Amino acid sequence: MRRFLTHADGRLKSGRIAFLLFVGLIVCFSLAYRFARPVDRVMVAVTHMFNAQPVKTAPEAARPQEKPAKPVEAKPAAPELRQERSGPPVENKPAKRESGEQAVPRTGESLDKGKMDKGKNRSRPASAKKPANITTAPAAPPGTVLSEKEKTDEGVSLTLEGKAYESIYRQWREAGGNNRGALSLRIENLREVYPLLQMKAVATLNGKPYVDLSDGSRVAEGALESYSSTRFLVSDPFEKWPDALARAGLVPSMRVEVWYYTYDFIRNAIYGRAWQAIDCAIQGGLIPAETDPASMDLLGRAYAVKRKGGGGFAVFVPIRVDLPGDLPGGRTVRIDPSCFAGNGDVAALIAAGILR
Amino acid sequence: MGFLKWFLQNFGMFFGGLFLVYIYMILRRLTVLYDFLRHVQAGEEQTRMPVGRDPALAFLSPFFDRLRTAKGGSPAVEAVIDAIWSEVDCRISVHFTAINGYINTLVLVGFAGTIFGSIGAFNEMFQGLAKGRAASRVFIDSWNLGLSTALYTSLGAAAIGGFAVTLLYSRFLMTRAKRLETMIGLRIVEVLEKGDTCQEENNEAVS
Repeated sequence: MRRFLTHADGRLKSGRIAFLLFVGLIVCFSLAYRFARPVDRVMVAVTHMFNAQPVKTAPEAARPQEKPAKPVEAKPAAPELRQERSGPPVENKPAKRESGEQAVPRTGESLDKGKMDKGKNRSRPASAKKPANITTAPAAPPGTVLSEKEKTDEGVSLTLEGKAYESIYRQWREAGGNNRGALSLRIENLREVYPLLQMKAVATLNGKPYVDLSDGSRVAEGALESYSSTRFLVSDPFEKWPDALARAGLVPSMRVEVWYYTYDFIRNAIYGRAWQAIDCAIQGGLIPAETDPASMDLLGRAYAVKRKGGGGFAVFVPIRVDLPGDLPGGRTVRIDPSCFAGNGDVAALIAAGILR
Repeated sequence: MGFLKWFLQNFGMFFGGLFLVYIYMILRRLTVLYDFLRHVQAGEEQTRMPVGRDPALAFLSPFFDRLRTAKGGSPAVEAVIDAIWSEVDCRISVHFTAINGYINTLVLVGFAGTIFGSIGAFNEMFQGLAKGRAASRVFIDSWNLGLSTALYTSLGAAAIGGFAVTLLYSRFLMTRAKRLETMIGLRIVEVLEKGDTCQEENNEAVS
């Protein structure tokens, strides 16, 4: 050992000793690093902060009560998504507070999750039955400059100038007044347009919210309270969100589901449009008037409407209604877009040639 | 290996490698200094006199032998004495100077790492915000792609530099180095006064 470390004259072999010291230092730090690491990997929980403001609510008697969760079975021929209600019964709880509505997005601001401006709650009570008149909103204002349609990641989208965009956005929000309750509802292309509907994609593990798929962060307790109890279930989540689920450590052998959490005003607008479609089909004799709405299954598609300079949202347009097999007139009823010609957003899509 | 992986990830491949190289070079110089100074008395003890053939001065034995044979009063004596001090500079002082240089360079490398890491972090941050990504994701990416390098290089430079400076000016090194210079001066005087009386020096070394 002495000869390994020293020369014959007693001088140290400095290069060799320095190397051994260096390696020893690295080993010491490695041991310290290893012992200092926790046994379990720490998951960082991110608390999502929202700027929701308290809003004026309608009197208790007129407010809609959320019904208990009702699972909806997926149909084999269905496109991508099913809608399902979730959440505990609320009969013994105060009525769910409507989240603040967002003002019209400004230039450069897209309708992204969590950006909630102050606003007043304009939703009308869902329990109030509306007449079967399908026109619930005025058409696009005259002189509207409708800009080009363009292919984007969200599919074909419509780009509008400022005032037309704001007007159409308001009309889309007001469509929520026609909401008369839950329906079995599917949206075709929600994977592409869910951000424009201000939805949050959350993966649940064993029934509990686990990870936010948009940024991979853990979902903190209470982070989803401001969302509606109505959420959309994703079919084949591992086909649609393979990378995000893999990054979160979720595999198909686990009990994993992916849900799109939505705000109340978006849900109301979607449902309002769905009811509008059903009313139109009943009026046109395509669906018997006595058909139980609970037995219908409505399929629709979301279309992106963007503002020149920045900002955008998506609107829901029903495409068809599937009926029980024993009803006359067949099982599937196609919804004509002209049913919504009175709605400014659909009128703009028709005028741009996106809807026919 | 986990530590090395963490080190290179957080310091960056370039700056992490540079830090490791400099740590090795400082250790090498310290080892050489230790080799020269380990025989010198440490602490507050009185310097032993006469010095004689102290093991701490073994590396200067040829020079003292040459000094012994030089004729007293001739220019050769001054030249040999200058050569002795040059040799001390070459074998001892240069390592102190080098370590000081390494520490100064490490500070500059740490500063460069901070700038480099900050550029990467801000670039990632602005890109993420422009794309509208979630803030948590943006901060995580900023940390991974620059902020960690910026902070760890500064921390590493400060820690290594502070440790090395403390060691340099500690009683172990600086005190012994100064004492060695004292011993060399005394030894030169002994050699000059005693001339070529090798027998007397041997007796003193034994006693």
